[in-house]
Amino acid sequence: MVSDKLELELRRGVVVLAVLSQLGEFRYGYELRQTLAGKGFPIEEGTLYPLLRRLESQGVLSSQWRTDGQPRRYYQRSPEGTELYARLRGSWRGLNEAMDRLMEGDE
Amino acid sequence: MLTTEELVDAYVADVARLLPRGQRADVALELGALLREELAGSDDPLARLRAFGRPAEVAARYGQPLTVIDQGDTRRFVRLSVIGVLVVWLFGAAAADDPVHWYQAYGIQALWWPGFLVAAFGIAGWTRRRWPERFLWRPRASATGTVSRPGRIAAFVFFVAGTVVLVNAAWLLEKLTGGRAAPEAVRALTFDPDFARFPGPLVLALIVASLAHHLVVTIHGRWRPATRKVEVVLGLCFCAVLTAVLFAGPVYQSPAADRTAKSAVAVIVAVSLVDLLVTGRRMARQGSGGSSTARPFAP
Repeated sequence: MVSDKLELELRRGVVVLAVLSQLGEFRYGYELRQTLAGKGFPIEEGTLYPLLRRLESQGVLSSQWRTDGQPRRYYQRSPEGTELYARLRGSWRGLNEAMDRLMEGDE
Repeated sequence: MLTTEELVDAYVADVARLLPRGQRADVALELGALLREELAGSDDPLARLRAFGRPAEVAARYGQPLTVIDQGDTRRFVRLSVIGVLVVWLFGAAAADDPVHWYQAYGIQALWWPGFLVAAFGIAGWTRRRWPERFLWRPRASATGTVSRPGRIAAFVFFVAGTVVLVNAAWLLEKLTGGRAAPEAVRALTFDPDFARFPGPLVLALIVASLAHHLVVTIHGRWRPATRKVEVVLGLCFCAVLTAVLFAGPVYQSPAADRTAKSAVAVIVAVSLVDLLVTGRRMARQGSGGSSTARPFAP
């Protein structure tokens, strides 16, 4: 359906920001997904897990394997990722304010 | 019935084999661990894995997917592919002796054209991505109606020379060889007397009119609505007269030369008709107000 597709596109634009917001500390994929879903931002696993690897290859995240117990790969924002997060957060707030002004009185 | 563990292993293996070699082991280990955690206690692990996505899609998400034909070029690629293959098939149908010959010589062989287009569009897309600043949009001269005068003058000289050669081919051959040309060669380039009486002069008159029209557009330096209309009228006249030539008596005295000439005329008529169709559609679009692009905010 067109409406589903458009909503998906809208959400896709903020997925990176949502992920970066929760990776100030080390988390592994499943844990991160649960955290995001718990805060009202569910992401499909097929989207999230590859995204973590892509962000890592772009230098935005750093990762490490932890083998105490079940082996898991943990991700955290790199210094570049923290800079990017600050910039995206500023853009998001600016967009949010602009959209609020645009949609003022519609409800 | 496969266990969840076996399903995950099979799924991860299918994803991993589509990844770059260096990434495979690491991604497989991580993805396997994550999926086992996701699917723990699931009633329908197969459905969950299917919802995760086709292995090819998931593998593509892990890296930068390779694009051969840019999305913006896809429609043009499909159109050119279909038209090209159909043209080869149609000409093949006219030239082939029987269906088997057509299938072997044209039916299958025509598929080289889409293959060639894939390579051409792929190289063009890669070049655009590699040097984007060289491919910034610029208004095309044809879109603004302007013409290249040097190019059109060169074309005019070429067309005039071609017409002179076409009309006087036998005489020129005699002159160039000092009268030593083979009689068969001279005969091959000599018009049939009936054609020379009619419709030969009519064809020549249309060629001269086209040359004059070409010259007028060149002097103006741009296309005008009147010259566009004259072009269409001349094109229609040409198609009508040349089609009549195809079905009338011989053009040349030599049967072999006549067959060659008529094949060339058939190609010219086909190309002209396609060109007229495209021009007609463009004029119709412009005539209907240029659609929404001309008046984007008109009520």
